[in-house]
Amino acid sequence: MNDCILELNDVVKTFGGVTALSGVQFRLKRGEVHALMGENGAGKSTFIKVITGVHQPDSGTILLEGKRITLKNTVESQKLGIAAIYQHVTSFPDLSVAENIFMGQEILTKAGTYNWRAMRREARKYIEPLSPEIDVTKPMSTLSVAQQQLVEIAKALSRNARILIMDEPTASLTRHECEELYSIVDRLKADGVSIIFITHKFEDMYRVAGRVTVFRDSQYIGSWDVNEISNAKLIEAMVGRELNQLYPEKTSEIKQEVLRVEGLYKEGYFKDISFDVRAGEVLALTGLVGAGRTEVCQTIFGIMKPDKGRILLDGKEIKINSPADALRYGIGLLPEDRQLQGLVYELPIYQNVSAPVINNFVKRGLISVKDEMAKAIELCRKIKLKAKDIAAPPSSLSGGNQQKVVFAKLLNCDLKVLILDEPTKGIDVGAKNSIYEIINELTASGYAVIMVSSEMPEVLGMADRIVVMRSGRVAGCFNIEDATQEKILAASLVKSDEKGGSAV
Amino acid sequence: MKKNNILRKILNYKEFGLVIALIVLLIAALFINKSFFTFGNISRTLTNNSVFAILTVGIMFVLITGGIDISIGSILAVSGVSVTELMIMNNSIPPIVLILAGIAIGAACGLINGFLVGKMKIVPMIVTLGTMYVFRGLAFVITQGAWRFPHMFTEAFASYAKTEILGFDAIVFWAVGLFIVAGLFLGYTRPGRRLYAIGTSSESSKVAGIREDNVKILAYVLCGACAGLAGALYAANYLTVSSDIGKGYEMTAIAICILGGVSITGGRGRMDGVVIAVILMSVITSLLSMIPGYSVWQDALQGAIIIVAVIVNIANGSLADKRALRERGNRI
Repeated sequence: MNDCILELNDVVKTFGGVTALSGVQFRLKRGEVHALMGENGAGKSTFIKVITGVHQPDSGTILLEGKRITLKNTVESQKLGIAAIYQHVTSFPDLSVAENIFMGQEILTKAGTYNWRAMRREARKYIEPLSPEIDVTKPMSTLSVAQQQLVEIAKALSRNARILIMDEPTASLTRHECEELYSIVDRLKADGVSIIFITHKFEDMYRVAGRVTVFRDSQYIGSWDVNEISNAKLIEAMVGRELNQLYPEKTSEIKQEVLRVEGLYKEGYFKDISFDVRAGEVLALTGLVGAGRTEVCQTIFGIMKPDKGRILLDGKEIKINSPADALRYGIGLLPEDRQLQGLVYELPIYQNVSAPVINNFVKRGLISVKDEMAKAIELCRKIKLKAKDIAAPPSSLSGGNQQKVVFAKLLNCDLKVLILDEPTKGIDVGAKNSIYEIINELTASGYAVIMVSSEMPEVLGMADRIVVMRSGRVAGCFNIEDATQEKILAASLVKSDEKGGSAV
Repeated sequence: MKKNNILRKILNYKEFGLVIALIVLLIAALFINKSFFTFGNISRTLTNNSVFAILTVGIMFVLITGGIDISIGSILAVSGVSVTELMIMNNSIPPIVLILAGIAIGAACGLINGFLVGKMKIVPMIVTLGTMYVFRGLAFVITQGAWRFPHMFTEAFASYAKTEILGFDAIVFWAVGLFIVAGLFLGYTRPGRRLYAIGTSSESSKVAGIREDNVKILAYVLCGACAGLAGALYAANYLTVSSDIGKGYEMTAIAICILGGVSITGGRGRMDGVVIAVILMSVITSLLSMIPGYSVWQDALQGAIIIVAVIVNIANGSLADKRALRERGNRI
């Protein structure tokens, strides 16, 4: 037990009513590289934030070298030698690379001023083994995302961290850069640094880690020696959930093709995206966070413009230059962030519902509030919205009911294709079920539905066909009959022989 | 080879565009009015713009943090009238004490702005819109609406702005000195760099353990202090003071900063750019005043220049974004 540098026991963390970690344990040995794996939303990110002091656990203990510690903020964890490289880079885009590396631990001259020369020299020392072409005097914003991540790694290295946490560090690195990173990780390990390596890639785990711990649904599932566990077993540990009666019986009949995209391409986001969706069908678009699913949807809805590729509606090619165009063609989007993009929080529910079609209620140049309300009430009945007052703002509703308002808004338009981006994100189980029923009724009445979802059970429970995306490409298509969790996960994980994504 | 390097350095220089604009303008000046290049005119132009230069440095601190301060014109007035009244009450106060008093009054005003923005988390535009009226009102209360004219000023006080050194008025050296000190502060000190840090990313600053509220207070205090100095020197230079002095100066100062490449959203802005922008703006006003009938165009032209400067900045920004995307694209 004494060779553990970091030990967490029974850590519980909840946000409001949502449990992010329930009784999680973790043991990090001195000088080991420990892979942490699990699906999106398994609790890995929250776990990291507990270790670095961003979040304080509700209960449970953290032991550093056998001594119990409490971390109030990131400064305290840094002092104890715990450094984290976050998935979303936390840098200063306008400041130079050198300054970013030394932010908070600047090298000063005797007079107390910045010693730029020394900082540049030191920065080069840390950056060069990672990527010699990075100019430390350039602002961070001129670097690619991958290069920025390397700077973050250099920053952590410069702080002589004893415990280094890397949150999917290889997610945006090329094959070559990955190799560089592996050798750095090996070197650090030899220097006695203990590393927690969060990753979705088996390659990473086999290359650098000695042990692996799996989280699932906010819970600790188990820890194994890397060479003692097979791929298949690991995937089972990551997904092994039971599908229950959350999903309604399918009542729709799949008809003709409605929407087809061919060879959609957007520089920096996705490549060669082709799929089609038919009336009465739910097409699930799944894959890991950051695989480009949201961007594809935004492109179909006219928020982003594709560089290449065609979009066909009912067999005819259409050009969608704006969301207004998309709506005119009958394509609607339920955005991922309903609070930010789906609803106007301050306006009454009925005005939210009628917002996109407000012109329909204009009589002699004035809006007929009576008609507007009547239509809104009709739609809200249809989707079984639980609201005390149709004139109250959506902020008074629960998450699930807010989402229903967004649905009502979409139904108010005359649509053929509905794109639902993570429709049940942040919604509790009971409300999820009613959202699923709404989706089911929609397909039954002839809508074609594209559902973006990261949740495997939801994908398997709702979809008729499944498109898996990985690093901006279509990595697999499955009919529901032959789709399994294992197959989908295997398609969404980056293979060990894949060269940063140059070939699929 | 070496020559090539120097050429590249010149081309890569961030304020290259501004320098070109300045050169073009100076060549135009040759044709418009040769007397522009007389020493007397250059010296006078610099004197006339020194107060703006000092205000510009002040507001630059605030803009870098991503804030704004439209109360600096009023702070200038409070400081100017207070210093003048002090001098009239007691002629024996040493002028340097008066100047320091002006700086202190300005800093105190800035502290109020900083507290409201940093600690109370009120939007800077609203805070300084309010204090703009409060400070202007204070200036009026102090003067009781009275004007102060040259015969009321002491020789010694006036000499702090008007003594000729190498043919230039002393006030020019105040401005130049401030440019140097502020440039060093922004480039080489920890608090100076903190201004940039919170301006470029408030989120990352939190992760890095930077106390955003304190850094903001510092920015507004420094800005107020500069406006206070500008107020005292305004009094010493023009020897005519009322509660209305400095009205609208805040907009000119902001305009010069934007022209000089200071980002209105924070995080970006270099002292050399601002220095060139001050000179550029001075040349324009001076030139316009020399063409009969054209000085009325000054405001319109100033506004147009700002918009052009911002468009150039946006174009630069979107180019950088495209480049980053292309690099990402290579990896997909």
